[in-house]
Amino acid sequence: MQMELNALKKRLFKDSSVKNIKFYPGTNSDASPEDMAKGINKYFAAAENDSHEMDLDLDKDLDS
Amino acid sequence: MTFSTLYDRVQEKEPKISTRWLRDQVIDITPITSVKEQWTSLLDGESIRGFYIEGPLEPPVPLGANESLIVLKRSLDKEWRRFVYTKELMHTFDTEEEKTDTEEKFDIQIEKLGDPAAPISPQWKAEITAFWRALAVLCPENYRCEAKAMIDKDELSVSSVAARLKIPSSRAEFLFRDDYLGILENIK
Repeated sequence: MQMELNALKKRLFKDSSVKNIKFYPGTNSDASPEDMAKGINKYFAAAENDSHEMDLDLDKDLDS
Repeated sequence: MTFSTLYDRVQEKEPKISTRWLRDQVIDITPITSVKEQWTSLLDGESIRGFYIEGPLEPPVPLGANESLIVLKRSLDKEWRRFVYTKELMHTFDTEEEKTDTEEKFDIQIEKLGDPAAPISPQWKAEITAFWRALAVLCPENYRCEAKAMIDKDELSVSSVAARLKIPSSRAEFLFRDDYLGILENIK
């Protein structure tokens, strides 16, 4: 069963028609695609409540 | 205009390169009209450090056509944030063939993540290209050449270069591979 992957694909390609998705893999080369999809699905679930608290400021959070 | 336009513009800059400046250049050069940036502790750093999505995408994170989203793992240090962000930003230069815009292409891309022996697809090639492009735009070539000459004379360390560029040392090492210039020619 690939529940997380299937849920993510539904969000991206059935509920939406995204033009591209790419990933930066994590530190564990043995991590499964299902684990990766789980993280992305958790992000979208949290965004249902409040997406703004996840906003990133490039000047402060990356470049300072 | 293409990646080479951005590469040429970077050559006029001094490190460290601002990711905001890179983002603004991408919006100027590519069809992408906006990039939404977010970070979250919900990404498991063992399996994923960040991702890129190009709209249209429905709520809760609505994106229009030609609008992009980049999400980073929140606990990355700034060096990793800058590198992962820039690598994902480089996907704005993916060709139509390289874009992952169907379930079938997604499956092929995901399969490669889980099976290194799987064939290299255009989608996976785009991942590799974006990695090298990120290095190329975070390190102007003049500075790289100066740094390489000093490293060769034991007058500078790779970790010092990484600190100047504000990228992880483990990624800065790739700048000094013997095949770097050859790879650069293939991605420009």
